[in-house]
Amino acid sequence: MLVANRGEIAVRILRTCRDMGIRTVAVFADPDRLALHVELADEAYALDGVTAAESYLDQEKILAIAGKASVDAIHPGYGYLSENHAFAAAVEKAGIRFIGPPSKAIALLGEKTAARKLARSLGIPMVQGSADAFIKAEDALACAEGLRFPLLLKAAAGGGGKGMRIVHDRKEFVSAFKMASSEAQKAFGDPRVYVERYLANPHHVEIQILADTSGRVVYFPERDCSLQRRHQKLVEESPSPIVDSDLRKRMGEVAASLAGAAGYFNAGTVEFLVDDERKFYFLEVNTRLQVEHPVTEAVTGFDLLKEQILVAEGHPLSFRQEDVPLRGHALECRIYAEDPANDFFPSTGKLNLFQPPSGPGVRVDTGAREGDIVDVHFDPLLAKVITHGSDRREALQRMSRALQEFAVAGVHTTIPFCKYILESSIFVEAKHTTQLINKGVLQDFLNQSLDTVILDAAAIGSALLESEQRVDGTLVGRETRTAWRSRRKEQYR
Amino acid sequence: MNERKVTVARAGIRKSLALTDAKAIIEDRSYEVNLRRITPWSVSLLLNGTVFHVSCIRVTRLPSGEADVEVLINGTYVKYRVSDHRAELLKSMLKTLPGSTGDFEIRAPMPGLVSRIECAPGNSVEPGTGILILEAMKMENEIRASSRGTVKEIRVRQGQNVEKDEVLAVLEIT
Repeated sequence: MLVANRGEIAVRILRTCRDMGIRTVAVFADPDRLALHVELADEAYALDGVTAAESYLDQEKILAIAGKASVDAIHPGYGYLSENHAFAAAVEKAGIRFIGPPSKAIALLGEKTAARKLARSLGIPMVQGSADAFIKAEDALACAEGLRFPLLLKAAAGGGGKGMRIVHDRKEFVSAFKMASSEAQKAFGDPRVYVERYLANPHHVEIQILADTSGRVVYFPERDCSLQRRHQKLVEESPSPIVDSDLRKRMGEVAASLAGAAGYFNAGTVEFLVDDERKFYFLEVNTRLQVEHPVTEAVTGFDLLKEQILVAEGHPLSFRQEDVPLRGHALECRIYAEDPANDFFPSTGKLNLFQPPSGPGVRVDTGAREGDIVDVHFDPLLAKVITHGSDRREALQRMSRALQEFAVAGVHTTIPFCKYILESSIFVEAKHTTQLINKGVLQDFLNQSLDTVILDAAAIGSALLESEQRVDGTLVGRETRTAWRSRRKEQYR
Repeated sequence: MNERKVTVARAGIRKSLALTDAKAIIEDRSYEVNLRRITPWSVSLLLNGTVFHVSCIRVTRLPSGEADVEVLINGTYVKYRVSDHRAELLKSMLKTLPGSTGDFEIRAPMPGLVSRIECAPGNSVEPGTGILILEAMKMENEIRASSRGTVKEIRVRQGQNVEKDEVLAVLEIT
């Protein structure tokens, strides 16, 4: 199996392949020469490129390597080529198994406006929006006339918050459209953008489905991904604190019916928005394994990747709907190299310190290692921390503990911010919506009140660490010998 | 005796801090200090018999001579602006320097690629007017004017890679 991806998801795929005795092939861009996924594969081939476009998005290079290595299957991971139906079709045509849905289902559901049309025909409730996607901002604006602002612009081929913009009024529309479109072109090779009404305070709830080639579909307990920043998920959990067993069943059955109607097989996710009255609206289908799939694995005990491979090999599902359990509660925090103090801008640098947590109920998926360089070319997701507990409270306490243990230096990360949010009463009481993270919350985080002794300790630590790097002006942590420190060492040795 | 006096500021509150060989005094509080290194980037700080784990996320030097020090202390994020008397002196000098008033430099908030320039020298801008698009990690980020003024210079070209804090454009604030 060739894994056409990088980072934590490539590592995660390689691990299940090893578990199943499948030999693996990794591919890598120049900056990933020393990456963990390259090391964990049985064979690894260079993509000879620096940027994503020259490497993990280059279909021809990947297919050429697949041919050279005589692979039987390709797993696309998420992002990159995972939802590119032309790539899936090219893989199928080359006689290689694509570990994902058939290219036709990707084309139908991955194209967001086509998916909305199908859902509408099945009577699935959805948010008001344009029936088609547009290349020209002016055409989109003409179509948006009937809709009330604020609006949401979304890439027709999109996902992961890329190519997405909120527009508050008419005069922002054209510039926002152009940015969304150009981002969509770069991320997905498709510049088309569609328009949707923007729901003010929704919960984001999604249903994982799995279907075999005979058309049998099962759904899994929902995931709640309401904690987001820049329309990108930051924390996910399963089950959702706002969904009861009745709603779970109704949403699950709707998701399964959509998959059935689309001729879907393999894993997929049907995303919904849920409002305060617990009405749900269809959002889109993600025709891939998602970043947050481990929370579902934690509460059900399935290895979703293994199930993906079995289905792709043509095996029927080995379990029925009533065999899907819901055990306890799971949470996932995405650890991005981003600076919450700087509006979640990506933060680049060297991972001078990288010590992931462990212990009961903790799983860490990562492709990063201490010493790695985090650069501007790729997605800044460093790691995912997943905790499982007998109930939400235990899962939360374990997450809090795990995040406290997770030490990273050299780049900013979302670790301390996630910890702060997860310990806030609004999250503990599950009263948050997708709009929780705003400037006010960020300011509160930066200025959170702490015990005097903690603040004093931090001040003393800061002053000492700062003085150490005064000598040569480079970043702190070099083993420079200031008078202060060398004396300290001798005195306490 | 090797004493160092600094000021640390967070959330608008400034505190004076005096560090000597094995002692620290913050305002009227005094601590016995023992610092041991765990890794080059993390230390164990013993203050009056209690241990705190401090890892240094980053130290950012500012042109004023001050430094922003970001640490994790027992897993909690704290950022302090640290300055000593030299930095204070430099800052007061910068404030009184004639000439450059009215010019505002727009700096790159992170390294990236200038994918598009949206204005030209001479253009007037309002708060929120797009100056250029900086692309990093697959996201396009619009760099916008923060106040009303005129674009004096654009210091970068389309397609150029820039470092964090590199000056992208200069605005003349009106």
